[in-house]
Amino acid sequence: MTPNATPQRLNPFALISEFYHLIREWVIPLIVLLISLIPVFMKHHLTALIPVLIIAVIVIFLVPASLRYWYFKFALEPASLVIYSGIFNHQINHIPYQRIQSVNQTQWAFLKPFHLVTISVETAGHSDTDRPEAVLSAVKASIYDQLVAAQQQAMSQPTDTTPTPPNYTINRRDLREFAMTSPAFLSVLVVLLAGFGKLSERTKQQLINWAFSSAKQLNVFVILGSAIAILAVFYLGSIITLILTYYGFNLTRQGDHLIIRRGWFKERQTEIAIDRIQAIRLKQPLVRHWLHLVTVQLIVISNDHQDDDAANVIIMPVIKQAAVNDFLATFFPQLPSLQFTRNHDRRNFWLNWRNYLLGSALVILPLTLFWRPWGSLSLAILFITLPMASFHSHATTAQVLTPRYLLVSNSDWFTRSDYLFQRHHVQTLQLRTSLWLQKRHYGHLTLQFRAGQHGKKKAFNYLPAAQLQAIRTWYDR
Amino acid sequence: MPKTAAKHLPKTIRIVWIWTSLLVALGGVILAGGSWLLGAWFAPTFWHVIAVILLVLTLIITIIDLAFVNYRWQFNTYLVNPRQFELHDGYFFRKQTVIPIAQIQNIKLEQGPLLRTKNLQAITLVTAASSHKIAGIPTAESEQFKTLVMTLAQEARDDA
Repeated sequence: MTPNATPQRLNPFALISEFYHLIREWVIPLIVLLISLIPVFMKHHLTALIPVLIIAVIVIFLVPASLRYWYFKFALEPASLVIYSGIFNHQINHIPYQRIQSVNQTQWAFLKPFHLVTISVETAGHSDTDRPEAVLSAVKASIYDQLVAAQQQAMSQPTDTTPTPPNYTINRRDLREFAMTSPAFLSVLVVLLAGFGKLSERTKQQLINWAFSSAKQLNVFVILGSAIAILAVFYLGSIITLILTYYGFNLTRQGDHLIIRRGWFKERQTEIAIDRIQAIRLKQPLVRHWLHLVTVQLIVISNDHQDDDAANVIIMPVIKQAAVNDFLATFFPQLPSLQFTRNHDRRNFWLNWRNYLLGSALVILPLTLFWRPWGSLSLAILFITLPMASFHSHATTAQVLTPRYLLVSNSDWFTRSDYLFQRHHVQTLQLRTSLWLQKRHYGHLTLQFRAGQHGKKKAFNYLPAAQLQAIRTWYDR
Repeated sequence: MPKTAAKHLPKTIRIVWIWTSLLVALGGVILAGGSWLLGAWFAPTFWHVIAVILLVLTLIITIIDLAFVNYRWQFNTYLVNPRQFELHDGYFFRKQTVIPIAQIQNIKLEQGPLLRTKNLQAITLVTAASSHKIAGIPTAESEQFKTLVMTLAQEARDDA
């Protein structure tokens, strides 16, 4: 008999999370309401009432939040986790321990002193909601251990198969290296550009005019200096965020599960069943590639589509290229050893460069013709095509390692990815070529595999026909 | 592994394709006629230009479609063996798709009114990551096909 078999409520701190979720659902109508009411209040000189209104809204929202909290109960019964919910429409959800695929745990820093955690439970079932099968916000940390123990007992799995389970904890130096070599800060620029695109035409024009008129008064060094300063701020910000999210990163293997712990302000614990892994991805953004550093990710099946990272789980933030094999061998003893190779095929390079040149011509031509004189600045794109084609063609390789494993790599915007596939995880294999490419004995390879909730494809272009044939034979076996 | 030769779709599928593109053309002509008629009520220039564009597009698409019916039939082949499905597609741009039977999650058989007149069925093979369609094979054969795939899938799963 498991303890906690009688239905119990969550810790009162869960009320905060309930309230937060409710406010988040209603945030847009609320803001619209407030903004539309402001002119009315101004007109009748009732501005003093605005704080009262805000307090009223909070109180109104507290009522359903506390009702939801009051009617939410859970119990760890001998065979299943049972969840009672619903105010008018009472729901009871039984989740048998055998059906639980993973139990994840997160902990906010401010709940640490109270030993409270948030547990989310995933099953293989396809639910239409955006959330995992069950979320227990703010429960005692011991509940997590009980749940994991119950699940492992149900799967009749010994907790420890190896005498010392493999374990890795990140050290300060690696964490610093990981944060400093990440290109994440560049994505802030992309977000800003996207935001700029969303503005109305007039605002855009005003912004551009303002930028040009103020640029005329300043000298080049000031402009360059402030651009560099802004980038530096983004860079620092991304370093701090990454250090906080990967603080104390720890990976262990327990039987058929990997357990990942990380984070400072919000501590997360994720559990991954080995049989959900579809591929191993070794990722190298440009800077890490230069420094011979690798990030190891797992591509897994997951039901959680709220979280984009759920399909790509980092199991090793940063490691020296030479040490990758040792690392993989500790956690996955059955894997063959890998070698990072570069493709020195001249033809692959020329074909890629040709495509990049044609692609950039589509952007450059209209810009230079119709937006004089500034459009000609787009000619600068031509200078990027050469290193891009060279990086891309160097990164495109494919090797059959053993009758079971295939290592293929490609690149995406100066980020090289090597994928290690097991044969039965490749759902379909596609070979493409054209009449002209076939005469030169070249073709493309596309692999389809499961990732996240659905499928994904990856293409590896301009590979020699002999190599493609070898992969085909490997897959046919 | 016994090597079987790639099979063409039945020749009658070409008639189905021709009728399909003629029906699409008819739809295009009706739309064009409709917008010409709208021109009688208001904004005549605008609706007449739209009508002409629709008509020209329909004509071009239909001509290309009809011209490639033979090409499509000639270079659209499939083959099944106890382990996998293979679909071949195209001559200028060639595509070869290998779908192991062990990976097939389910098979969908479809028959629209046009396929029914020629007694054909379209087959969709669904894996966990993708789906692939064979435009049409004789109904009798497709039933055999389905049973074959189902038993092979079962065996493949039992072996695993």
